[in-house]
Amino acid sequence: MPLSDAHNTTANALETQGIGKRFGGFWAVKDVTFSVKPGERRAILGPNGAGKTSLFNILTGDYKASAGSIRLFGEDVTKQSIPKRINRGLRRTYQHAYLFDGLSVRDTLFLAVAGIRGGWRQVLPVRLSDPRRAEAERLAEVAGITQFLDRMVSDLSHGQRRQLEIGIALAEDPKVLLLDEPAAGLSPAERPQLSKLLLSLPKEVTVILIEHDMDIAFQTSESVTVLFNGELMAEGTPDEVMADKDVHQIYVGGAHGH
Amino acid sequence: MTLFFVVTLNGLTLAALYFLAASGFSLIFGLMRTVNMAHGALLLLGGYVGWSVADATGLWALGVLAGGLAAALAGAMVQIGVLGWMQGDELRQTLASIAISIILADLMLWIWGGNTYQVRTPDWLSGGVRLEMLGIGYAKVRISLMIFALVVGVALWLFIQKTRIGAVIRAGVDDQQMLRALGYPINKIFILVFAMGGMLAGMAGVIAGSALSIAPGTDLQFLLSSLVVVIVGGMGSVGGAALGALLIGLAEQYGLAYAPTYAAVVTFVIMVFVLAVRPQGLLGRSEK
Amino acid sequence: MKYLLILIPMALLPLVLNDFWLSQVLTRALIMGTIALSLSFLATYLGVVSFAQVTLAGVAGYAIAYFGPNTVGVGVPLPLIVTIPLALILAMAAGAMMGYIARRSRGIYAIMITLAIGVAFFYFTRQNYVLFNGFTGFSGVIAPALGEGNWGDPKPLYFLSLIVAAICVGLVQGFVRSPLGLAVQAVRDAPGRLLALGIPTTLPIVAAFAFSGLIAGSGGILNVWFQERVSSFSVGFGPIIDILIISVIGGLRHPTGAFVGAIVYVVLDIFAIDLIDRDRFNLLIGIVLLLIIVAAPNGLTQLITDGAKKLRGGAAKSRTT
Repeated sequence: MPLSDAHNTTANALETQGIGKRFGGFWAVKDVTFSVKPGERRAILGPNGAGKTSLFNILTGDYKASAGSIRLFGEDVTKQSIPKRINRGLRRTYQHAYLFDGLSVRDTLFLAVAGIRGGWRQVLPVRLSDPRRAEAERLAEVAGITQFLDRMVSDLSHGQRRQLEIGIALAEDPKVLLLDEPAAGLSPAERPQLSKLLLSLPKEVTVILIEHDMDIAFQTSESVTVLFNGELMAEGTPDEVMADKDVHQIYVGGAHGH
Repeated sequence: MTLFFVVTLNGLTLAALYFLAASGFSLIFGLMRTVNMAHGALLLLGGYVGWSVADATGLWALGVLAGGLAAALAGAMVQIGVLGWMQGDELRQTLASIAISIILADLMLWIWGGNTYQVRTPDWLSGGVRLEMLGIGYAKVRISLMIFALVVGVALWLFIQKTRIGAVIRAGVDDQQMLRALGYPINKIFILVFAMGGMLAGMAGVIAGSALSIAPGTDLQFLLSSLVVVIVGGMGSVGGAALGALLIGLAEQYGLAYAPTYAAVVTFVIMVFVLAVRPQGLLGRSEK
Repeated sequence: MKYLLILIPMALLPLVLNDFWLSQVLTRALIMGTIALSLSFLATYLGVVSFAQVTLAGVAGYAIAYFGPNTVGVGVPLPLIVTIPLALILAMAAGAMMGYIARRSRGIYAIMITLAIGVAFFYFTRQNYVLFNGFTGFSGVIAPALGEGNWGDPKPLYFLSLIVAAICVGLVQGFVRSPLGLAVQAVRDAPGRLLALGIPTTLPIVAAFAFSGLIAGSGGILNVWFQERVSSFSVGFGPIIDILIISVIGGLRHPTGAFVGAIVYVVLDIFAIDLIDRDRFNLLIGIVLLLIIVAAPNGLTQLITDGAKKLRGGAAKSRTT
């Protein structure tokens, strides 16, 4: 395990201290402090515009944080580049499946396996190396898309694309997985399958999940964080959060996240 | 020192021509995302028609007008007849405009032959003028060309910044879809812009034929310069076209005068440098 | 192997065809097709239409002329075993450089930049006498000796061109299945996503251009042996457009269609004289190009494939009813 030296067992998997992101005069995310333990399953809830995806973007490095700090297993990654954080085990999926339409599922997963661990050097060999090919096939199996390995990505259904997204995120030993609305756009029939996939993820992987589908969120997560207007509003077990007055206020009380 | 002044003036003359040619190209690209590869052919067509009219009537100004109108008409026809049908498919439009430029170039070769033409300038433009400040003489027609380019540039800028149609065009540069949704007759605006681009190219052709000369190959020369000018200056902005034209025109003339073997490379190096530092061009807006 | 079905008959053609057909039609089409293949490769797998493939072919051609026998007294003759790899390496290096310059440009921007590079190179060859011998370029560039004659003779050059074309097609198919080739296609589809996987996009782009330089350079070497000369005219706007036309006729998204396009182009070129005035060839080819773009934007290859599919579908339907 090349990363074990950075891995402090007593540290939180992910920990933020007052992070925020400002666009002009508007704080999309403001002063968010929260922590997730290794292996924890955390759901992030909140109405549209609450800053959930922006929070993810700060965590991954897609946005530079305007304030605060981020720690990954105790190590300060606030200033690290995206590839560095990926190398430390931080992975994400995207809300809008943004995939290589002209490649097969197998080739996509191969690129994910090759790129994430080795970077550009991994694409230099003339042939696809066998261990990496085997790893790509294993990922397809975990993501439940083995039967589509040789199908073009453009021919996949919406649900299968979501599964492929998760397969990519699982490549090469992820430690913290950020899933951005994996169930968005899925048919009711596809949803239980996704729940099952989320529950089957390796126990040691920390999962943070943005999800509008409460069934999926509560089924798969042991703790919940609620964002509202870019700020952290409530945190706790699903039951505690459901009992929270403020949470009722924003969902039922008629206030909107705008 | 005299050489330096003459080279500088030559550079400015060339820059003025490049600006006239590139502004239409840039305008069309800015609004419609269409790379009109037939732009050089429109310029040459304007030049030939202008020469023919000026030759037949003896009226130079009429030649400029006729050249501009002929190219405007041809430009509008290109948009109505071919490119308008492929709106949104930029690659296909580009390829189609190449086909049109090949066809136009061959038709012009058929009609006007392979000769080099120079448009006869009226007396008030012939001869030179003594520039006491610099201690050199310079051709009147070239000085007039610079003034003309300046006037066209300012007029174009005023048109785009101050008029209602200009406002619509500017909006179109930023958001074509929105304009369409708001019910503006975007197809007609496209044709108008194409005609304007053609007009500018056509007049530039007649003027190029007056200050220099025109022949088969002039179309390619000005297509290339327009490409480089807008790549360097930035797409879809009058100021960008002016700045790009100035840089390229001067660089080419200084290159020719002081490093003739590498003159072509100077332009190229400027382009590569700009692309490396500002891929969207010096005054262009970022694509994203 | 469907390619053997094409290759074997083509290898037998010299038995039935005279030298004119062999040289002026088939060899020329194979050479132009190889250069056009480098363009279709970039268009299909990187999604970039490059207007500078003739330039890359020209770099290799000029290298063969400069470092080989010529009758203009410019250059440094080197042994053949050095010249050929050197020419290919220079073409690849030129391709890599071009890819690096155009690395952030896509679509029409890439067209404009590669066109500007191509035409700038054309003007450069005209002005530079030390390396390119200016306007006139190099003549008397004889192909390597072969028995009593040389490789430039009709039959040997035909076989050589056929083999090189076949190797290039094979190389393209191998490249796009290699990890680097997959990364190239990933850049085409979603560059940002590839970056998020930890693979920078510059490397695949530069590699794709360099690889296209290898293909174009191979065609360029054959071309200089075929023409026995290379000059600014070999890298001018005319040839640039010819190669583009060939790729478009064959279908920009069909790499091997380049050879279909080349045959159509060469046949049109030779027999236009019977259709219209010889001088109006450009008019004819312009109209053909326009018609293809308007009516069959995916080229003849797609048209043939679709037609075959329809025929087969129609046959199947008529069987079921």
